[in-house]
Amino acid sequence: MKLKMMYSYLNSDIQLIEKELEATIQADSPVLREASLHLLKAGGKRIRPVFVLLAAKFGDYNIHVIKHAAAALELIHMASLVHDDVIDDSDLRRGVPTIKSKWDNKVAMYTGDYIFARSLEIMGEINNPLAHKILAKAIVEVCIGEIEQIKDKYRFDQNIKDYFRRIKRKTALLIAVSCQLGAVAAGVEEVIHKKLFKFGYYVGMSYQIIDDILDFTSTEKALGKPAGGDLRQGNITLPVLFAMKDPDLQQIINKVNEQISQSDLDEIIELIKKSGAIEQSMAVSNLYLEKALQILHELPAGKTRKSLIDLAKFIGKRKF
Amino acid sequence: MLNLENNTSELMNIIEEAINHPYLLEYIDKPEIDTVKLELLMVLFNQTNMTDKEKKQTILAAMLVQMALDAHEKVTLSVPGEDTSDFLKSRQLTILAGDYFSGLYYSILAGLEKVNFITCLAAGIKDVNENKIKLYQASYETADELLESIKAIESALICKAADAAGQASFKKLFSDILLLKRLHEERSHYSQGSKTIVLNQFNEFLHAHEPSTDTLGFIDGQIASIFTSIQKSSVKHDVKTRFISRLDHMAKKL
Repeated sequence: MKLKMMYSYLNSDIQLIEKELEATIQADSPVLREASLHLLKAGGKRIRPVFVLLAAKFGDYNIHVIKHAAAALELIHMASLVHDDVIDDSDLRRGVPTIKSKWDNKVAMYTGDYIFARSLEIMGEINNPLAHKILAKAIVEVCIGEIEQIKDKYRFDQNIKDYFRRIKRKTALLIAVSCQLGAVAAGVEEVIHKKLFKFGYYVGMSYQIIDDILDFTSTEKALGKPAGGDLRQGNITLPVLFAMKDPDLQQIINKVNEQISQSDLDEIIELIKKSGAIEQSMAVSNLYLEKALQILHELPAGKTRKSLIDLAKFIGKRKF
Repeated sequence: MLNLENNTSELMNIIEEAINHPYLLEYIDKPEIDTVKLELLMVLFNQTNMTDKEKKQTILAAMLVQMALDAHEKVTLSVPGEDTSDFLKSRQLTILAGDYFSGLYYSILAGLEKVNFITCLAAGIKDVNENKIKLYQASYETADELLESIKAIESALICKAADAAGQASFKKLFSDILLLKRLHEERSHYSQGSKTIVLNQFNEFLHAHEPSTDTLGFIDGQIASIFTSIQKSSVKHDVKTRFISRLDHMAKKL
């Protein structure tokens, strides 16, 4: 089943959010406007807004309120991507040139800050202090996670706990918060919005592990960026940690640095793939997915719960 | 009531404590606290009926936004093949420091449940970046337009804070003071032979529109004109006097 089919009954609302996103980043400056729209038009799965909308279905669903949380979360995600591309010196994102590559680092910094500001401005339409506390806490944690990621680069003696803590902050929190915020903005009772947070957290963990697996198993065309990029940049992901349990492979991986040639890197990637690390990582991703699905069973049955189940399963099986 | 003499250093300590992230500070330039902006914010929030604790937290949030923008302003262009790994790490962490400070601003104001301040400062960030990109990329037809961009970069945050605090009457004076401060700084850069985006724009503008005026003469003319505007301001005399003497002192040190 295609992603959009899982929540086709939300299509008109998703289109409304797409319009909201475009309208929100209509900067006065032509360059700022073009740069902001450049990333928006490059697409993306928009999973955060979808989670916001689905979670809101458990409460008093008013799209004209919910849309602010949905758009704000996508814009916060977008702003972080613009800055991440400067951090990683990436030239491609979603198969198109990054803002820093099409323009330069300065334009990317201004654009990221502009998009972040616009996200908080529209989030201000949600006059619920709890929603802001939840989102603000997550944003700070995401930043700390990114700093930790730099700190942990090429640190081959890190353990799985370090990795889980990092991906929690890097990815899972914002997905968890997307689910919780949709519910909070729709006035859902605490016991439910906390369960939705947990669901989003487990899905987010599974999602990031899959992302880290795809960096080894997918192609440049499918990823929209060169494969194996994480390891080249010193990001020690779950497949690498599993592969390093083999002492011989650990010695080889320990030698990875920024200057490694593509052919040497390709060889290491093949060794990691043959080590069983991909399958082990997949098993961990599936465990998180199972936990996510278990939480859903504690939520009211119906079309929304079914969509969340389908979406979680889709994320667990995605190949791009 | 916050006292400029006694509470400035206390607030500076609060700010330093908030941004204290040992790993970040190991790799990035020590973030500077703009004490003129800090004192203007103290003057501004003293006009409100907030508690001292609320004033300090709101000022901290506004200063964190400023420091986030300042950090991101330091991000340099990529030079393929020439950026060393230490340099790259410093750039990466400078970006993340800015993002982290922005997150803290939101977190502090969310904790205070001041949604109007969150959105007002966000509007300030938006205006600053609109003008930064204009200054970086555009050419200006008039001196006023160019100076308005610089003024917005320096004062959009404090003006939006003034709106949120219900003290719009301070906006003109504060933005003049901050423009004057920036012009003094640019004058100092010029005297030292440094290159800046603002000096580059001054040179381009004068070359295209006023070829007979030199850059230093242009800056001095603007400084004199803003000084007169500040003198004419109807805002309380002691506030004006304090900041005029503060800027005079600063200009002599530059």
